[in-house]
Amino acid sequence: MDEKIRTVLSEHGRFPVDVASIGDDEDLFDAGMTSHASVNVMLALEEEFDLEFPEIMLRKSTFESVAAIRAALVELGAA
Amino acid sequence: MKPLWFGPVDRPLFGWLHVPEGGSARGGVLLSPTLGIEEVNARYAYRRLADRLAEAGFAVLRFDYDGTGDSAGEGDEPGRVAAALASIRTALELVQGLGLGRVGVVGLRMGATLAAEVLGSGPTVVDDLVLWDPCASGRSLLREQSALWKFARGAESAGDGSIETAGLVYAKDTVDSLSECAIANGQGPMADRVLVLMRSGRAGDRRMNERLSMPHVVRRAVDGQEELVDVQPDAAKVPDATITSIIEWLAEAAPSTPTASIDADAIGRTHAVIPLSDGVTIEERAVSLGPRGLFGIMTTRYVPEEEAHGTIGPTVGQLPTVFFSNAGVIDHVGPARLWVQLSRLWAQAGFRALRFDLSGLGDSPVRAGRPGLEALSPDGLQDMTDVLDAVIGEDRTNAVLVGLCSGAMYALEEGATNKVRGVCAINPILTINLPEPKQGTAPDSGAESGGREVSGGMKSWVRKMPAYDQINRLVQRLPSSAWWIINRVAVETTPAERLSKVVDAGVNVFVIAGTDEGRWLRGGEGRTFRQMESTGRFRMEIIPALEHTLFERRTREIAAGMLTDHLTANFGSSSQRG
Repeated sequence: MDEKIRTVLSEHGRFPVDVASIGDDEDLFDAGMTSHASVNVMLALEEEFDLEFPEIMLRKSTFESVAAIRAALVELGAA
Repeated sequence: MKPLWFGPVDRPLFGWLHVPEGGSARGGVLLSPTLGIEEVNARYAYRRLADRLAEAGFAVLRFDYDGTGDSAGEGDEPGRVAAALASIRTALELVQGLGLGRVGVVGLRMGATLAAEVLGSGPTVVDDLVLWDPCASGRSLLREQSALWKFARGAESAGDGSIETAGLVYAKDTVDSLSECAIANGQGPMADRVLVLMRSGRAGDRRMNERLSMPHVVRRAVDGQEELVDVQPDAAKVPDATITSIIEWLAEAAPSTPTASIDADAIGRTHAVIPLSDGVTIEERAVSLGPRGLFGIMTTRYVPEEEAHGTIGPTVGQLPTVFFSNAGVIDHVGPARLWVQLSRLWAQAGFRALRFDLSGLGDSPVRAGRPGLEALSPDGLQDMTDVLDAVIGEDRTNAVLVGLCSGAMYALEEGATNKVRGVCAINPILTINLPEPKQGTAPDSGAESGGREVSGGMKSWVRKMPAYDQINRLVQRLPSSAWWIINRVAVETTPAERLSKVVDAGVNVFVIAGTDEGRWLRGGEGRTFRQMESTGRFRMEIIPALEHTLFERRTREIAAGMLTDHLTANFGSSSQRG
């Protein structure tokens, strides 16, 4: 799952740095992900894992780190 | 290109008709806009597309839906989806009425989805349809825009079924009906030919893809969409390659020679008379301003001829004329359409209100040699002067300038130089310089130079530092006390000094700022601010958590209320400044 998350972040997060250099708990927004890019990450994750983030998860904290994204996906039953 | 109003007389739509040089065309094209902040980003791209289509021999109508842009109505009224669909039908009738034979529709994002909703059922009524990076559904747009706003602002859902996005709140009934709009709806072919331009790297919604699997549908991938719609408005880039591919696709099926001539003067109306909800009627008129023909819309209280000599309300022209200029690259409609709303509100009270575009922005011409779409242009101040000259002449004592961000800076500079009656500056940026006019430009380049510089901003040695951009971002976060030091070391003229210069010129200055912007403006210069306040001509209000571009409704409404109260209290009588 982590590899898929990082691939999505790499393709859609528009980071100024290599995604591999970002730690699991590091703040993705501090690392350079814009709000616009985070929406594209959200959409790409939905496509990649064939799910939809519910309204309650549509908040910045859901996508603030690799660990947070992983936790959200696990909660939604993603494999 | 020609501005015009069309559709219902008491609820007119505003649009631009682009006609090929010579007045003959080989087809007509309707551009259906997207919604919300995406429309702000894409507005200039639509203008470019329309211009280039006209160069390729097509007559083009771009327009604003009811309740958006310069059209009548409000964006948060009920029934917005039905209004948008009706607007498309009305605009399409106008294009079909040109009698050009071939008719096409181009829709970007939600503009594509709404166009497909109109054209998706029933017999084919257009020849060509371009679905440009279409939203699979209104629901997908709302999710994306809502998420964007929540991620950017940390906002929570309203709980009443409405959805707030950047600059636009969708009422519950609009959310419900927009959610039902989908490309997958309908069974018909939509058009004889359909081009779908999908964003590179996006597979697209399954139901939409199934719907678009018809043999007459061509599907292509395009780049540049993220740079157009997934950025702040001041960073949006026009996707010229995509525009070229749209024009080539439309041209390949169109006749090679014109099919009819167009009498542009006979199409649409030159002004709008709009009845508002409280019984007052206002008039809006497109104006061409100054030597470069800058575009503006003048709003006045409508006075029927039979009442013009009566006693109903203040006489139009007696109260000051209020000038609204661009906020960054946002066009004359203003941030979250605020300039339109305030123009109409203040016109009811007897003010004249002009919202206009500086050269290269919105719908104004681009100066020769300039790229267009510049938030800060060396020509901006000269444009301001030209507009004021054109509207009120050299006597500025009955002019009030309103601006946000760079527009506020222009307003303050113009106010100080030409001693207007008042300036209302929202989040003015006073720690930057305008780009310097290019000197020594080759005579044959055709480049024009506005040539007026602004004093102030960072000192040149600071601007030349290799890491200036990063440093600039960092210092914006520092407290007021740190700004006091920065202002003395790195800034040519402090914000306080720049404001003081305007107040000293006898101008009534009202500043509205967010918490951060207020801190940068004050910069520890309490004494200077107290001195300005003691003149009775200066006031600054801080609105906590004010979103810089006024895209958030709650704080925007607070700011709008303050502006209206200030205008009425300070300029609501015809007495001139002493």
